[in-house]
Amino acid sequence: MIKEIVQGMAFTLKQMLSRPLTVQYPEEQKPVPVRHRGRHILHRYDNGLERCIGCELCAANCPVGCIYVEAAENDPANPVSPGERYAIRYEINLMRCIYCGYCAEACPTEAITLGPQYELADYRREHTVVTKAELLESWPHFAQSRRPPSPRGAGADQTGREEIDPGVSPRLAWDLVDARRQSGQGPHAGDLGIPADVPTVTEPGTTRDNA
Amino acid sequence: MSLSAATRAEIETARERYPQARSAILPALWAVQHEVGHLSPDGMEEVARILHVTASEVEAVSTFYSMYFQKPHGRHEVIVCINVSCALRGADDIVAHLERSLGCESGSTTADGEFTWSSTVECLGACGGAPAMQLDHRFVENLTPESVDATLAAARASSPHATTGPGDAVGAEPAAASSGERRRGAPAGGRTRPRRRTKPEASDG
Amino acid sequence: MTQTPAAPGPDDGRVGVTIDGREVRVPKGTLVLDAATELGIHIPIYCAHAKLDPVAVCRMCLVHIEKFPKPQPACATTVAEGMVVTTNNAEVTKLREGVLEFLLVNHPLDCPVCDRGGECDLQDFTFRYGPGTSRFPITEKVHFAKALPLSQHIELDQERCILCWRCVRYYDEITGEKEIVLQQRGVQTLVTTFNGEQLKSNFQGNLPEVCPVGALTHREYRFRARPWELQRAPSVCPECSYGCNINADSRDFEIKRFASRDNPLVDDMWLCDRGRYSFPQWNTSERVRRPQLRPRGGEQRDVTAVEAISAAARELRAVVDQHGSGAVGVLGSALNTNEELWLLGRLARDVIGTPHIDHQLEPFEKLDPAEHALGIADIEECDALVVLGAEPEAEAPVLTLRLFKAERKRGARVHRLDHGADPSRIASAVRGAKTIGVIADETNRAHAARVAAAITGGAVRRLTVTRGVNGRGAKDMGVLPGLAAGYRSAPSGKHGREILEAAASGALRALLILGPNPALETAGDVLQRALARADSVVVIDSRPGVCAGAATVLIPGHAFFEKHGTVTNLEGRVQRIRPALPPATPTPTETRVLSSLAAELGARDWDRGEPSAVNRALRAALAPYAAAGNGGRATWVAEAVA
Repeated sequence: MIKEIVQGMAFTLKQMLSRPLTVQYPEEQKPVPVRHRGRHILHRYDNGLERCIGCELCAANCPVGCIYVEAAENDPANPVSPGERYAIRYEINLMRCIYCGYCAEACPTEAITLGPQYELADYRREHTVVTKAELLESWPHFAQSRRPPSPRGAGADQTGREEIDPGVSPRLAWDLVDARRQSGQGPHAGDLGIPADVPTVTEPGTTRDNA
Repeated sequence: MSLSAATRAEIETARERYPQARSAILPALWAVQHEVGHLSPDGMEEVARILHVTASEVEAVSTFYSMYFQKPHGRHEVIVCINVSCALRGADDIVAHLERSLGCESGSTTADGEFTWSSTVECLGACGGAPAMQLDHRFVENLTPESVDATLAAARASSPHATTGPGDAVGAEPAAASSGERRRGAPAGGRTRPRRRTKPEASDG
Repeated sequence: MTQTPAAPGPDDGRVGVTIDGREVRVPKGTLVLDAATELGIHIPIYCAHAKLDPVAVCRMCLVHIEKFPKPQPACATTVAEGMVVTTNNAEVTKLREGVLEFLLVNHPLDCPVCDRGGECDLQDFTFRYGPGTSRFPITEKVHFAKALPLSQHIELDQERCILCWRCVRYYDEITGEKEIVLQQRGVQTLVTTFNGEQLKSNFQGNLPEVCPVGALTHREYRFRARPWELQRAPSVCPECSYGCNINADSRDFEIKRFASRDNPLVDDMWLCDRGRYSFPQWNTSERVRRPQLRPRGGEQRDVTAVEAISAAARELRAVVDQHGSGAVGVLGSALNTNEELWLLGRLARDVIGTPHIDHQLEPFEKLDPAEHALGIADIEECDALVVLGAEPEAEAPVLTLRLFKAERKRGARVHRLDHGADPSRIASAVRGAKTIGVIADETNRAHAARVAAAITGGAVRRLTVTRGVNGRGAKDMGVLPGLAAGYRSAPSGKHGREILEAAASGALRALLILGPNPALETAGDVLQRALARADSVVVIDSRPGVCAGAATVLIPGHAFFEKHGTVTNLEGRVQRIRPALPPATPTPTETRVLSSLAAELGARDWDRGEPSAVNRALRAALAPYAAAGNGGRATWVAEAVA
């Protein structure tokens, strides 16, 4: 009993005297392993052309469906990638990504790999959808820029697809009308959240009786 | 472009010979090539009109056989047989010699526009005189490099190929017209034709 | 192989054949390939095509047949009594591997960038039957031109071609135009056109569908989507009244292409280019999105749909109160569904009480049951066909292919005549034929009737090519002056142009327009004047246009690919349309708007107006539609019409 306590305390004392493992993050950062699977990188060839040909196999292979690609045809005089096809849009929803690396495995041109970057937190959900401009390897003449993610790409569930009329939900309004008609009453504008500046319609029933 | 009356008549005769007008495409193309020297799209369209087939069908036939020419060629055409009998009797040496002496590869035209030569044809049917070649539809047999040189020199000195129209300047044709492009020479037609030759009236174009 | 062949049965025109140990009885003359398909046995094919004659050039379908010394192509061998076929032994497997290995020798590794990747037969069969490795891995492939535009619609990649002849045969057997040929020979064989010319056909869009690989592709679909991302919505081509079945393939709420959906009775799987490449117009963002009130002399403002419907009812009622129900003109459209048109007809006649209702500008006389006696598929049965004028084939281009099929398969004579041709001259031209078809467009119906009457000595059947995808449905639903649903006679009213003229002159005070109606916009000046003069213009439309711009009450509609419904084609075939896109507006679909408008105007017995419920109601009311169901033909017998 005593022996075990002494052994334990001895180990503790030994650890107290050794250098601590803790680093002062974020001022101080440890290098990540070479095969770390962090945020994706889209690579280029040595001549600056993009490796990605927009084939969408990464998106097809993605188990969570977080990749969105839209392809376009290369202008032969001013190509973006070798061959006929390139990705005009490439977006990854990092909130959804599970960093499994299947996209890199599916890629026929080794255009996408998972990189060392792991600091991916942000204050806005929209910013967690990374666009092609952010994913691409930088290049001497390439300006890093942030394009807003499209409303219907990988960020569809982050930004909302379609602007909706302000005020009452149209579907709710409609069902209310139905309920009222079935109960023998006509629709009543006041119940439907119609703004006050819209003049109230005469209730149809009364007008009909007048006629 | 319009073909001469004689050629048209020849095509129409050929059309009558077969139950289907389509079958007359081969003789019709021969007739056109004899008059013009090669098969231009205009010529093929005219054949199609006479035979009531589509021009695309005519072109499909003309490209299938290697002795129909889609491009203008030199004043003389030289076709070297490299099939079994000729190969056994040294056709390879003849081909190598021609490549050297004419300075261009098989299927192309010499820089001076004198010769278009080809070795990609099948058997010419002159096995008895192997190795053999065909110069402007005449057989030259039992070839040696020396006899080839002599024949070509004689041809160079002779009158121009009668089937080549005055407008067919071909000297500038690039030598790249080889592998993937049109091939020349075909077995069946080539054998029957050497007797029918030279139509001086063809230059009415 | 010692399998017992199927026991010979009574001579019923069928033969018994055993495939992979399973027996099946099929009609005489059936191909081994089709007999296997009947058993659910898959035989890979490249050159064979259900609509083309067999040629057996690809050798992919070779199977072992007992008592044959060599393997036979399943696509070109007809079954015989007691035939024993094996498709899954080592010999056949080796043959398939060999054929695929050869096909892949020169096939470029374009799959990731090829539009066909994902729905490519070469990909699929290589995966399923291929050898896995090649003995030609280091040989330089034969190269040809890539991405060669053959026309504004078609792109050709000669390297990807596997020389199956399908495109050549399509042009030979289906359209007869022979624009594409194979040139050169051996390993240099390539698919091309005469002298590299552009394609001129009106049916080029079928080429990429016939091609088993990615050699021929759509330029409009180039790199737009991968096949596995596409959402398919089985629908009907909205371009003409022929009613070709299509799949509207969309990605991200945008239609990317129209693909054919084989219906042997209608399109026979072929679409025309006008229809196939009309899809971009449905992706336009120019839409009526919000209900609006635009009182004359007042300020326009956005309102809710409920508000707009109340306002529409109020305006219509005001006109009816002041000028009588005959002061309202109602215009439908040939682009609306049967359900909408049926409700519109009832709304106009039963609720508003006006006889002035139409769906097009020109008057349409009573429908004669005889003029739809000739079905599309019946065209093939005719010995002689008379086409009056160029209009029928200009309106419904796929008709041309059916006429060519009749010519080619049956030797029918097709007489394309001027629409003013003398009936007796036509009658003498078709003398001797047993079955005769007379095809005319709507303007020449009367002349077609005279022609049909003049022909003696053969059974004559007529077909009238109606205008607009649901032009026939609009007539059946009674969106016509003087004819209610089912061609029952009704108080006579003004036809389309007269309605506009009356509105322009002030005789009609209110217009209710259910759009979109491109035909209406051809009226030009009179339409503008009518819209400007009427006190009230209620427009339910999906597109901003002349009508929507002049509306006093504007209610957004759902476009053709945003709603459920049925449309009726020129031969009376009732076919479903389904939404391929979400609606561009939160306003409910037109049937519900019309139903609600009727309720506001005092109709008591109308239900919610869900398209399916409306469809049930109209089938209950119209016997031919009850008989037609979904996909059948609604044919009106003489009594019903009278």
